[in-house]
Amino acid sequence: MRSIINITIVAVIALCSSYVSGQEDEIKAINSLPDRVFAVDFYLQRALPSGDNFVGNGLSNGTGYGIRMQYDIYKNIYAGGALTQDFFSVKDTDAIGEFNRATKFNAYLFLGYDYQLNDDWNITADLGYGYSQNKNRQSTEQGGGKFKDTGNVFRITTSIEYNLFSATSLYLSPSYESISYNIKSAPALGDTFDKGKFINLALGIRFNVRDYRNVPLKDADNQELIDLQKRDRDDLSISERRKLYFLKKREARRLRRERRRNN
Amino acid sequence: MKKLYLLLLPIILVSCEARLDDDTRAFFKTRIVDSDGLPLVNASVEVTTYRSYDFFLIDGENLVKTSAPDRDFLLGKGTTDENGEVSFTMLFDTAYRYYVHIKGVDDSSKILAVASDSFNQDLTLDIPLITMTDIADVELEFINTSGTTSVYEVTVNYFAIYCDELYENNSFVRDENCELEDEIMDVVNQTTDDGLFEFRAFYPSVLDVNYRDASGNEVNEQFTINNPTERYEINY
Repeated sequence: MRSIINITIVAVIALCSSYVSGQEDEIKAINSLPDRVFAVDFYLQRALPSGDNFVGNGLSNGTGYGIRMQYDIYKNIYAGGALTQDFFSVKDTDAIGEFNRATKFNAYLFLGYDYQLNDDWNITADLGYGYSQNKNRQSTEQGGGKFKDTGNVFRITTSIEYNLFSATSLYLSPSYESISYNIKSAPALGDTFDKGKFINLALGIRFNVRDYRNVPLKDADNQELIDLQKRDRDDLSISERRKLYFLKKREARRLRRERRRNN
Repeated sequence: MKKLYLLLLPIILVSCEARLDDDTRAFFKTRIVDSDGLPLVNASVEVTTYRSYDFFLIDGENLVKTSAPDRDFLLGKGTTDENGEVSFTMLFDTAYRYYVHIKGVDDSSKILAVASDSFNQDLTLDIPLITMTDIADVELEFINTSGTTSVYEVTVNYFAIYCDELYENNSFVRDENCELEDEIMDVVNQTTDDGLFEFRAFYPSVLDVNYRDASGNEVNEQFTINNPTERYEINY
C-alpha cells in the first residue's frame, strides 16, 4: 500500500514538474523579460477582521504594513519570509475583552508560484505559515495594562503585479489569514477565542532581481561584448561579467520596448 | 549602593510595564439583589484587580513609582438585566484578590472583595447571589439596672463600613484584614455616662456583643441589624 502511495506521489511531482517546465518554456516564448530570481516587497494594507469570532466581532478594520522577501527555488516556484504589523482599535469590549487597541504582528514563511502573463503583468499566489501575536493595550481609564494573545497564522496571499521597469513593479495583493490562537478561555465563552480570521488588501512596491544570463545579444552591438559572450563564463573577470550583465539588461529592455511598440 | 541603583535604573524602566496575563480570558457571572431581596436592575458592575505600584525590591525596600497608578486594572464590566443578572468576558491577572464594584441607579454601591481561589479551575467566577448592603446608624447602650459597681470589659464586633466583604470558598465573610477596624473594645460602668456606643455598620449584618465583669462572668449576645437606624439596650 505504501509503495502505491509513494509511486503516486512521485508521479504527481513528475507531472507537476513537467507542467511547470512546459509553462516556463511557453512563457519564455512570449515574453522578453528575464526570469525573476529574487524580489523584496514593501506594502501598506487594510486588514479587515472577519467571521464570528473574537477578532471579527471585537476589532474594527485596521491598517498596517509589511515586508516580504522571496527567492525562486525551482523554475517559477518561490519561497520566502514575511513580517507584517497591523494596528486595530477595539469596537466591542464585550466580544474581545476590556482593552482599547491591538497591534497584530505576523512572522511567517511561504511557498508560492509566480506566473508571468506577459511583459507587463504577473500574478503570484503563495501559502504561508508562521507565528502571530496580538499585543493588546488598555487605555489609562482601563488601568493601562498590556498583554498578548499569541497563535499560529496560516495565510493565503495572491497578487497581481504591473511591471513598471524590469526591476520595479507595483502590485495589488488580496490575502486571507486564519490564526489559531493559544488562548485559554472559560467554557461559557465557547470557541470564540480559538480562531481569528482576517481579509487583507495590500498595495505594494516590489523590487526584482532578474536572471539576464540567457538574454541573447544582437550582432550589431559592441563586438567586444559579443566576444565576451562567446567565451566561457568562468574565464571572465569580474569587470567583464559586469559589462556583460548590464549589456544584457539593456538588450532585454530594448526587446521589451520593441515588443510593446509592435503590440 | 548608589551605583547599583543607577545600574538597575534601565532594568526598572523596562520592568515597570503594567502587565495582565497573556493568552487568557475569564468569565464572570452573578445575580444582584437589594437588601429587600428584589433584583437590582441596570446596575453597573465592574471587576478590577489591585494594580500594585511597588515594582522592585532591593534589600527589603520597595521602590515605588513617583505616583500611584490612575486606577486598578479593569478586567471586565457589564450591566444587570431585569432579573439582576449580569455576565461578561474578563481579562485575567493572576492576583491575590479581585474586587467587584456594584453601583445601582439609586446611587447604592458596594465593593465585594473576591479571593483568588474563588475562580474555578476553568477561569469562571460564578457568584450565585450578591445582596446589596446599606449603611445603618447603630446605637448600643449598656444600662445599669441592677445597681452593680462592677466594671465590665466590652467587645463589640460589627460590619464596619470601611471593611470589605470577602467572597471566599463560596461564602461571604468579613475581610480578615479588617479585624481591628471592626471591633470596639472598651469598659463600661467605670463612670456614669460610659455605656453608650454609636457607630455605623453595613446591614443586613450581625452585631456580636461580648461583656465580662471583674469576676470573669462572661455574656455573649447577638443582634441582627436590619434597618437604617437601630438601637439596642443591654441591661446589667
